[in-house]
Amino acid sequence: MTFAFGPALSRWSRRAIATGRSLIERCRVIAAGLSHSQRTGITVLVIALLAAPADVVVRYALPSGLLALVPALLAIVGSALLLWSSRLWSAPASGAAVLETVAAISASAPVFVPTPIVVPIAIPAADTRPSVAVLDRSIGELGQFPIFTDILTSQMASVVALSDGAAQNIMTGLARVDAEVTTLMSVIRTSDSGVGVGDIVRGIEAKVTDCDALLQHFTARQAETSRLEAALRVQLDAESQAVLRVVDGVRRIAQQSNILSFNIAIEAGHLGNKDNGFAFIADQVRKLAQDVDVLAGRLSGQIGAIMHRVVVESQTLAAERQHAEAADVANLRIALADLDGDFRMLVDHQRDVLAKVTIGSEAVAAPILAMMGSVQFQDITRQQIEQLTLTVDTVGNRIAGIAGGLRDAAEEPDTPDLSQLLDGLFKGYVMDSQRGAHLAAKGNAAPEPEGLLIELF
Amino acid sequence: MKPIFLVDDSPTILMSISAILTKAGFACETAASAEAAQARVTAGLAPAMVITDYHMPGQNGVELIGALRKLAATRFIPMLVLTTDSNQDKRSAAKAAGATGWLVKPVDPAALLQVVRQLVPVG
Repeated sequence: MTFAFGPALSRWSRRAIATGRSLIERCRVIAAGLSHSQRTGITVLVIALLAAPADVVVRYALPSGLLALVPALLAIVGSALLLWSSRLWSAPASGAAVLETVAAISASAPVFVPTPIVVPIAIPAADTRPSVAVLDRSIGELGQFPIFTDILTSQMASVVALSDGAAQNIMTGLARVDAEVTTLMSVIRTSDSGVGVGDIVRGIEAKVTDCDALLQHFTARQAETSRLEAALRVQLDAESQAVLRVVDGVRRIAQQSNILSFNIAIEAGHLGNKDNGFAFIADQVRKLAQDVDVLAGRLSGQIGAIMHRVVVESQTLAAERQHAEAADVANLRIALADLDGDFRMLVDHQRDVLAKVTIGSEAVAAPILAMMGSVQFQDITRQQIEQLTLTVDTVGNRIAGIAGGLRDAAEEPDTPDLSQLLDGLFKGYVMDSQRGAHLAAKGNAAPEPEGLLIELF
Repeated sequence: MKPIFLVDDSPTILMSISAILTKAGFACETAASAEAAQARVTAGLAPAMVITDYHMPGQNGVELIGALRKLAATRFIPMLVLTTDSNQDKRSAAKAAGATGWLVKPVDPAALLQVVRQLVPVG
């Protein structure tokens, strides 16, 4: 009997272990969606289910000689299952919790779970627990984790505030530029409409056309007058010369007649007869010559009068022409004065536009310059984010160290803790805002700014 | 006109400061590292002034100033450190290395121009 039950028990145990393993594998799938307490409860249930048939076998089937071996075998099976379950659930405290729960169940149900089976199972689990020192240190460091999150939050708030400020500066600058450009465009538009450049230029064009017409009229009249005067002078000169030649001929006839009368008178004297016919003829010829001379004198006088009248008329004509020309010149001067006024108005208008454009350009230049300066925020936030990345990496590494310490129940005692690491990060800060955010997160007052923003040595 | 030599590993800062100075009438040359800056000066660049960042890959700005003070072309010109760092010890080190001044980013454009005009009265 003894030897018959031994192999049977061995086979049964293997089947039980295989069944438990299969059950645990199924539970592994289910466990992903369960809470910690649910996982613990299921683990205890599995152990109880396995322990119940074993207890029955022990109590009713085995001979008393083998009874002493049963607790040891069940303890081995139970320990293996608990170790499995602890690894399965990946929860460091689950092994201890299971043991406690199993113990409680054992106390309440001694028929299925004898006490001697449970006690040896807890021993290996207790060996994997972290030491009290490691737990205290880990708990202390984990308690400091909110400081790290506060530092991160403060630093990120600083980055966000800086970015917001720069973005607002840029947007404000863009709005100012937009307003100035709109004003400038309005000035430029009005300068070419209404009473602006367009009307002034059109007025100038009309006045230039008038001036051109006046000049053409003036030139034409001057040319016509000159031509008429020249023709008149030539005609008068020719006619005067002809008349004077006739007068000279008459005067020569009169002189010759007078000489002839003297000769006749001389001849009559030679004859000695004062009453003869020659004397009478000579006297008549002399009278004729005198009459002709008188007539020639009158003719000359009349011609002189005509010449004088021509001169006077010519002078009158010239005076009239000068008067007309003066009027034309006066009109031209008025037109040119108007033109000059329009030009001055145009120049003033353009000067005004230029002044407004200059002022507008300067007004546009200021926000553009400010926006160029605001772009520096990108470099500052880049450095802040790089520092935050370093902080996250440092804290992440430390958390991994803490987890390793809990897992391996040992850690190098001189490893810097989270607080020391954070203090080390503080030394790497370059900006007052970083230092202020860090100290504020640790509950300290913000430091005084280090030096002036602009310092010449 | 001799240019103002800007040295910074941030392209954004180079663009920003260069635009501000150029708009004010200054000529600018740029380099992205202290090593590149020294190479430019060694190759013949003779700037009127140097404005350098402090934190750069490789040599930092103060080391650059110390090196440039040994070169003939930059021995006596003004050199400013333009950085986010406000640390007093680094300022002292910069002063000892031959820096003319220390400006903390972000610097106000008008204030920057005032300083530059004070040190380089052209433009």
